[in-house]
Amino acid sequence: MFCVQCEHTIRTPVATGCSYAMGMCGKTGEVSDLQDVLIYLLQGVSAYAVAARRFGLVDRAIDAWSCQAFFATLTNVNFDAERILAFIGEAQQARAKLKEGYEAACLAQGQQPEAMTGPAAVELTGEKAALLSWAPTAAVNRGKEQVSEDILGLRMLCLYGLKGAAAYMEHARVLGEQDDAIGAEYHEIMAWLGQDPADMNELIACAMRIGQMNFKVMALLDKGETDTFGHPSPVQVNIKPVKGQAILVSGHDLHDLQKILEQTVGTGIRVYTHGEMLPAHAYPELNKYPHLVGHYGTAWQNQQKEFAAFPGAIVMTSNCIINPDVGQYRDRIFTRSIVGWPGVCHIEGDDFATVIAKAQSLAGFPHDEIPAYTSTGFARNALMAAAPAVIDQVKAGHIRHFFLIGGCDGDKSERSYYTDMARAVPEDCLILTLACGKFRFHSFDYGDINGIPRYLDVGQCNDAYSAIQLAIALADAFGCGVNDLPLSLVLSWFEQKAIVILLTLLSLGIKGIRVGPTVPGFLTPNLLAFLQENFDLKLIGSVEQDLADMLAA
Amino acid sequence: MNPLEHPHWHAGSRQLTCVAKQAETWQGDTLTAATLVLQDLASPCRFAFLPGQYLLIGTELAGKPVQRAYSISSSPAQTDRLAITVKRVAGGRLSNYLLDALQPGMTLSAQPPQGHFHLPATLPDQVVLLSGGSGISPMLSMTRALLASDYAGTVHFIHSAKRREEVIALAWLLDTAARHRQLRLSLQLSEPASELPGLPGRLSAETLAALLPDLQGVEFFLCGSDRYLAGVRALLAHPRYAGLPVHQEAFDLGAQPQDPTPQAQGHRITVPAFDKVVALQGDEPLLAALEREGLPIIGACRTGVCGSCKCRVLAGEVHSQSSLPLSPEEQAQGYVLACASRAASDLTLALN
Repeated sequence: MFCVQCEHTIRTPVATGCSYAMGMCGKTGEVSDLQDVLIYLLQGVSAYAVAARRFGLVDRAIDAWSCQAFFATLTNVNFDAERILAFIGEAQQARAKLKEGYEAACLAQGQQPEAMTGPAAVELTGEKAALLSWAPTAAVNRGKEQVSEDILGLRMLCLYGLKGAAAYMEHARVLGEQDDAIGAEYHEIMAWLGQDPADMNELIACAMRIGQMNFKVMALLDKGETDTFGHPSPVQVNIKPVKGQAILVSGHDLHDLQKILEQTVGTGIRVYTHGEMLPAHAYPELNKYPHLVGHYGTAWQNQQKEFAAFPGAIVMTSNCIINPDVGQYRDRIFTRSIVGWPGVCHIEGDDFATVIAKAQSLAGFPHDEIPAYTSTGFARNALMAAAPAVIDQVKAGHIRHFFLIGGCDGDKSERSYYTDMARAVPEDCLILTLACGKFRFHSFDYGDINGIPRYLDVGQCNDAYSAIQLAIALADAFGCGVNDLPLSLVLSWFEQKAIVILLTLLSLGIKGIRVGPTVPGFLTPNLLAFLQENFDLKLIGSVEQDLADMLAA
Repeated sequence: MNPLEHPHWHAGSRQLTCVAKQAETWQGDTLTAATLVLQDLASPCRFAFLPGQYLLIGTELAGKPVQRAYSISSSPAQTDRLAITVKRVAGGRLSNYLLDALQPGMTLSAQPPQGHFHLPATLPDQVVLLSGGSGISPMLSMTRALLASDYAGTVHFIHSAKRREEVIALAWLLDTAARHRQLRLSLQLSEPASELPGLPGRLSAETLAALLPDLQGVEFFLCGSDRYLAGVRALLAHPRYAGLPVHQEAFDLGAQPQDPTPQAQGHRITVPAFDKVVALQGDEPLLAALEREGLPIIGACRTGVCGSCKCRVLAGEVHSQSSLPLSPEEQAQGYVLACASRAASDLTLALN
């Protein structure tokens, strides 16, 4: 295996990347290699999707499926070799179907079909052993003998960024939002990456294009969420359990949460959110269910202890899942959609009866704990509604600076930086946050500035879209550019959604972003220097120094 | 390489075939050092090790099993084969057998690469490799790894030998030093050869100080005979070097019998959370036994670097070869790396 896509990847004195029998995430070499084969075939699917589109042939089912399959290879999503094998089979079928349509269209118009090469042309059997022996050809660092580390790094930056965007496309599609123009752009980029491009400028342009495309994807997802569930409004969420049987819903998929809430009405089961599902409480169409009682647990990397102590059923709707055998709750955890763990019950369709029956067979929480609260729901509309008051407070000198401290969490001790930073932010400054990194500092009481809360949870990682909208509105109000605002971005990354959000911010021209806890393993010193020079990208340093620098900027 | 057909070797012994034997040094007509390239031809595997680690090699001589440790001299980038470099030792039965009798095509039994003498996860600005005689082997592996990586620091390769003819891998060293400015090669010979790089004469306090004018970010790596090591440690006792990290390997490992199964035999691991009692086999690391029982533990690098297999000792004693990725707090709480720890008593473990 060779995998370097997440922040946790092995770094030894001589090499970076998980390249032994198992990754740091617990993904076996076998699953990793099969995922490489799948991604390679997806590039072939995209090549034919691009060709077919030249004749106006758009297969929305295959477009949607492509993003699902790609999402399955994201960090901490699918560890099940059988599921990846099934995706590989489907990929070959999808490619054959597009090819047939394309060649028929060529024939009808008297054209010669284009001769396809690489991922579009490769013929593979469905045999696992054969696929594995072929896997090195599809490795993400293929061609390392021919091109420089910088080119390989850029290819991976693009591939991982596009993977993050594909995940958001799938989140949007679940809510009924699919955009053919974005689909076309996805396929163009995916097909191009399948040709192993080696021009540095073209690859950098591609990374920016992925960032811009993802801005549109996040807008689409925002539309899907707000059209379906209403505009979030700020709420207090109980982070302590209440008495009764329980289901815990983790991940990003609000649609699944809604179905579970609908199907548990009147059962007495209490539903809790976990991790990135926290912002769900702010959506009116979800918040209206009284049995959505609270939020349980903290960041994903603590799940093996927290799920072990959860006396109910657990549903993983997207990333992140980690080995359920450590905490011995395999029999009461369920996977959805693209998520998979060998031997764990996978729920197809929208019927959650199995999950409900499991929750009913379990004891649930024996008593109410004394409530404690966190807040969420400061998304686009709420922020815009508050913007005039915020602007007044800035003009009056009561708000000095905005800090956006967000991103994904992980278990490295260096990540205490983000807690320390949030705690150290001066009292005349606001903290905006999003994604799961906030669980390191969400439970403190930050107080308010003349009625404006100092801690504003914008939502999930994709709600970076709301934060960008706020920044644009503030810049308009102050008659300046976004980079001239008293706003500093301090991001933490773990997986590929964070990579694509970073690309989006960079492609929007936002400069001076601080990222940590470490440099992505696929970014070479040259690439890092490029990002530092062109985007003033900074690595996190000491809290005191960084804070002083940001306030002085 | 197909990982299904060619698994990563991390546990159990293997029969390695000598696929090439390359003479390194001669004394008259006697071969005094050779590099043996080893491969598992019967059941191909991938080798993974950290530069500096060793292999336990064994065979039967006159009806009795003999086993010795030999540092790996090849680069970890080469995963389908590895090389050890063997030097003639007075009375060294296995070493002399390897030099005199072993021919390509013959096999040896081997245990997976191990050892705590290797490059650290965070590389210092200056790596100072000090070796004597056949202590050069792990230094060759480290140098190959460093030069092949994007390491931007300086590698001081300071090797001591009696005379030019006794320097293992001399041609490779001279050629590599000529091509890589970051490699500073110094050969300290008792019988100086003026055309070789380095200051004349044996390694002394003055030569070492002259070779290392700047001690910023220096870490020392020492390998050689006990006598050599004692000499270098005496030089490093100078206040000038106070506080600088020193890693060392006694190469006499190669000359002295090493008992592959110390007290560990028969120890058991109790894992209360899973209601399991696991019997350890021989001197295997804890990870091997836990995996055999199907307990959920991630073993990613298996060389004490990545930290994925950390677990907590609730009762009992272990000997750990690495605790690199563990914080002082974790170590105080009893966390160890299952891949780099062996039982010194019966143990009770928590996996997370």
